[in-house]
Amino acid sequence: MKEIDEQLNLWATGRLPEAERRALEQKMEEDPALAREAEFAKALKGSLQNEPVTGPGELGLARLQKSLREEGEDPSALLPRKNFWKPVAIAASVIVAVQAVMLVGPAPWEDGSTVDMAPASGELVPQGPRLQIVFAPTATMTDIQTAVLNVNGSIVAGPSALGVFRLALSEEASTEAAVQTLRDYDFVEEVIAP
Amino acid sequence: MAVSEQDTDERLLHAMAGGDMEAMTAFYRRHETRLYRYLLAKLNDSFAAADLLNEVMLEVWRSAARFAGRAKVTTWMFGIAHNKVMSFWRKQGRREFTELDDNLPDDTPGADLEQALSVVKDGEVLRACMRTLSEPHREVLHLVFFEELDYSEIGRILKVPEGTVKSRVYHAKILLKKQLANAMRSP
Repeated sequence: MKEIDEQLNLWATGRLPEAERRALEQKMEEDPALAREAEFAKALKGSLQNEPVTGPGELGLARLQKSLREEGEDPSALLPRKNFWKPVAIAASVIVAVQAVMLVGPAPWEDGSTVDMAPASGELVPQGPRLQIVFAPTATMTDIQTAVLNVNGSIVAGPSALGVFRLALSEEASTEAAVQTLRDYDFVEEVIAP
Repeated sequence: MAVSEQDTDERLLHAMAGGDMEAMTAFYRRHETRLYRYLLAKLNDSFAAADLLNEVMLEVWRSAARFAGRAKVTTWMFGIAHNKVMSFWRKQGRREFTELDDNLPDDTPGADLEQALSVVKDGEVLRACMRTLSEPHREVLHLVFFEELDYSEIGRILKVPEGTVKSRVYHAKILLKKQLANAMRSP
């Protein structure tokens, strides 16, 4: 029976070639047990195909379309998380800034004048080291807040057109430790210490 | 693209590869029920089947450009579905199925066959008996008798040799007949 089973199943689903079908039906006439096996296969096919099953239908389609939209909106699916051009752009900005200071001449505080740099909030700007940082496009306000507070820093400038923020750390802060802490966040793309 | 009933699956996939959402919608409507049936036959769980249907369709969308035309679109699609279920089970810590058919008899006793025949047309009994089979046995019965696929196509979907499919179908039927006969005998 094992040898003929595939033929029986093809016969039951109506896919046995004509010549083989006739030969098999001839065998069935001579072998009632084979005929009953064929009958079972046909009945099984009928029952399985008549089983009422309702899929998710239009609700499933709406779910799929939502998943596709989300996938299309996910920038991480389109861009590599670490963008090679950002460190280059940051480095270029630093060079431009240094050149500007050299061209403008002595710093204002050297000739006795004062520089008015204070946050609009009235808080004092930390006098410690400065960092430049770029967050991932998917970073939320809460993410940024968490990262900045975790290194006890303040945003003193930015974001620039390239998305670069300048971060001031407290005087006693360790720059290396702060850089490491910030780099450990998934939503931080680059951190550059002076 | 303007989608019509006559569009072949290959044409829809080609349009999907170019980001055509209308083609994706048409593809979903064309294959949703049969794919869901297949997943349900494998998983025995309507919620998991609906979740994986979404995942399979997403994968079809992502992979449309990679369809090489070496197999029929439906064979390729069922292959994706099969892999998704395997990953789903791996995440759940389920073990891979191993063929355990060596100890089964090669034929169904005549009495079992007669009793099985008398209840196989009862959809409710058949469903209950199918649920007692292992997933690979339910799966091959579904692919042979519902999808009406050739053993070679089933082998490509499951990534097993055609001989394994042959043996698995045969033993799945023996086990099903046994279960149906038991159901018939029990009050």
